Amino acid sequence: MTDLQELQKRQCSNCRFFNNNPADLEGSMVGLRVMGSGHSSVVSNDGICENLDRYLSGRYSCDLYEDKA
Amino acid sequence: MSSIITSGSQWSELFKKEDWWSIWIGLGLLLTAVLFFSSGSSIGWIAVIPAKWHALPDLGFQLVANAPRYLAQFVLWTAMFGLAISFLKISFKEFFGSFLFIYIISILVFALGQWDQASYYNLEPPLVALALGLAIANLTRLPKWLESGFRVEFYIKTGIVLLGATLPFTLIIWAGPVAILQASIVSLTTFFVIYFVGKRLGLDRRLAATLGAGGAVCGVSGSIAIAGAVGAKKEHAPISISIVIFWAIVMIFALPLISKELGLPTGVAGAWIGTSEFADAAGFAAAQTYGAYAGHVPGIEGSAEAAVNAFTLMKVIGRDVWIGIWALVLSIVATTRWEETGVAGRTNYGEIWRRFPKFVIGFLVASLAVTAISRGYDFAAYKSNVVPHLVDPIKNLRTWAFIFCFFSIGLTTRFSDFAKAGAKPFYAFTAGVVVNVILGYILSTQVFVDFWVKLGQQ
Repeated sequence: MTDLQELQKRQCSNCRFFNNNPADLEGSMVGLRVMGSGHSSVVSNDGICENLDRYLSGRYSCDLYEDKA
Repeated sequence: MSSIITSGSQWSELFKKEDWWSIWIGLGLLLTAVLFFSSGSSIGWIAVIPAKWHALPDLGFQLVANAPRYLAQFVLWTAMFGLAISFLKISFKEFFGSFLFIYIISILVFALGQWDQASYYNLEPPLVALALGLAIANLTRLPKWLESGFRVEFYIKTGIVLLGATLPFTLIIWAGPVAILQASIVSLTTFFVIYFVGKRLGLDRRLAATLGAGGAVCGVSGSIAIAGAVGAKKEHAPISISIVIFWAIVMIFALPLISKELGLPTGVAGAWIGTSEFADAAGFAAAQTYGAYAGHVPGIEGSAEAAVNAFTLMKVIGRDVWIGIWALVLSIVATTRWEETGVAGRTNYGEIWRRFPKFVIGFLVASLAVTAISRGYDFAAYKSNVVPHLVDPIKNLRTWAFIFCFFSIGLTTRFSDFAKAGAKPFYAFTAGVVVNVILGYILSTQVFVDFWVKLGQQ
């Protein structure tokens, strides 16, 4: 596996602490559905990191990464 | 820290994002309308709307007479939205019941707006739909399953794609640069006012940026996009969203009311609303409300469509399409200049496309298509043939989509559920609101006034 592939594999969207399910985002972010949407293009693949308590792009990464089961 | 990563295939997004579904539905309807028109027919039968009425028995008679048309239209909307909803992994069974509720109320709201005394009593459909939805959401407790159909963004995006079919592409080319210039001045000023006031008040930079984008670019969508791009704390986006919604709802009522008192032409008011409203859905409610005053309220010049057209140019072309660039720049700044958060940013220019509001593509394609079709007709033939058989039915369907949206805004706005924003974020955002409204007013009514007046006369 190349360094680039390794980096891609370890990005947040593949981490078990990361949740970008649109329904869950709309449920946890009060008001998102009022004039926005969890299914919108602007959301891209953003999600919530339950480990860091941050809302961030699925393309980020950190040292706490753990593979999804 | 930032590095370059090439993105994988994005094709699955074509069926996973509601932006794309709004394009499939909007352009699908347009294509069908064009095919009917080409064969000498029209989709007018199914694009039924309540006609003007004077007394209740008149209304009852026309609703009963057109019941099969409304039923067919309901089936059509349900099939299109239902298919999309299923791909978005939302229960179709729940959506069906919810959308039936929305459709029945929308018929009543639309019909009320067609009463010949509606303007006298300020019963414009957008405001009635919104107020009714707010009353239901805040005075009753609706079952959870009923919320499945309250898809504000989906309806407004579908409506915007259909709106493209009624907006000449030549007008977009003519007015687009001015809209972008005016919107850029206001967006940059608003963002930096909110950001620096927020910083001054001691807010986290990421929260200040999230608030700034909410005020400057595209409301809730701006907040959520920038919160993700900069890696904000989990509570930052809901705080910003709550404040955006509060001010967006205030502006739905305030901007048309103030514009009416000032007797602004429809094109000018639409440009001001496009500059100073914070969300697409809210802005369309305000612009459509103001457009309805044309011809009914003495002293208001311009066509009814001009308010919506000017708003669309300003908000969609002038502000919304730039969200990807805001996200790219702020994500670079956040990962290279702001305090470390323990995560590493991987930013590239693909960010601009990934966050691009794709429904705008559908809007432009629809505009281009109908403009190209219209070129084959002289003005008289366009007015007597193309408008009634092609453009008007699309406009009717657009109006339905907007009413579904306005009612859904009210139904999803439960003030007691909103995040407790705190005083400092509210003050920072409000500082931006004040500057935004004043600057938007000056640019729309003084600096570019001739331009927006002229647009209203086209």
